[in-house]
Amino acid sequence: MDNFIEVVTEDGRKFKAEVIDIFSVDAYPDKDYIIYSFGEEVSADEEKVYISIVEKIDDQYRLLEISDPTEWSIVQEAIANTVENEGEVNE
Amino acid sequence: MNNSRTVYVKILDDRIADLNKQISALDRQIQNKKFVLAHDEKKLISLKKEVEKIEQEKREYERTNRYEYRDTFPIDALDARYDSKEAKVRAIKSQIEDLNDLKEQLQSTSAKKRVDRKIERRQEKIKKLKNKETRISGIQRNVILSKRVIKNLKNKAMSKQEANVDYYTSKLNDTQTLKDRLDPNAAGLKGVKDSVLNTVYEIKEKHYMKKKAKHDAILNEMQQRSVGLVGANAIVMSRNAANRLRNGRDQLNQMLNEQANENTQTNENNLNPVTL
Repeated sequence: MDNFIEVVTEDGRKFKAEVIDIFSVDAYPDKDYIIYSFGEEVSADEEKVYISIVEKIDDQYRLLEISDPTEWSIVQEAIANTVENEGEVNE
Repeated sequence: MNNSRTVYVKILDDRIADLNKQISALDRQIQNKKFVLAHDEKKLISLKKEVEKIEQEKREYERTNRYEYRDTFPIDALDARYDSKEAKVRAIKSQIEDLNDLKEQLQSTSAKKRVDRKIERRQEKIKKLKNKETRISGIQRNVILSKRVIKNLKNKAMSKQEANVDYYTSKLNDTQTLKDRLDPNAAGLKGVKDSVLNTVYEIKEKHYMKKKAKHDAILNEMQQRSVGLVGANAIVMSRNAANRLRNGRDQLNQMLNEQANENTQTNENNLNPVTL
């Protein structure tokens, strides 16, 4: 399965986004989160990625900002832990 | 008598003419004022339309810039320690280059060996510097801050809430690793214990796989239609870290496909038993 989706901004602009992962965290079991990229390189070995809450209403998906600081902190920690674990698995 | 009548009529006529004159003048004034009023009213409408147009432009601008994604950790706020670490690595690499140049000029084997040892020590230093902490750029500070959390997680000292921040990909990996260490067929108590644990891990695996399946379904559905982008949180991540997440997902897919194939093979074997 390829990992690209089309996102549409509120003013109607369309972008192709690469989905890096869709995941949940135990602290918020009813929510799904998505990490995605628009291929923006910040430097030779750094890239910008985006994380949103996945919301589904009436068969339509929307990506929302994580505005709660505690939630954001937990999500970042989950990602950092997973990156660390993946590193251990791969090394 | 006729004269006075004529005079009187003339006086009245004059009076009428004068009044008419005044009426005309006033009428003209009124017409002018009406004209000015109409002009001002037109101008007023035009100004109101201009205000509406600019307000609309403002609303559009605010809407399009609402998701000027909140950079939680802008690139400028990168850890200075990382930058100085990189500077050290560069300096050591430069020393290694100089030592390699020096080695080429040396004749004696023992001198070359001494230089080799120096090069080796510097390469070890670079390795140690690079292995320090997972480099996730903008969220490195978070990783540093949560080292205590991660340590306590491993020591199971945290409360359940904080212990369950991991998401299921790493939990599935952990469960697989734990399962691989079991030997349910072992003799005695170990066999019983491992058998029970095996069942527990299988239940957990099914739970995480169910979540994985759900997320695959979400991705599949998203690919059938456009997805509305309302807001996002941006972070800067090292390519290495991002690729680990990408690879983790791919590896999980591969692992699940392999398991699905094994299950299919087992089912086929069960349907076609070997007859002796």
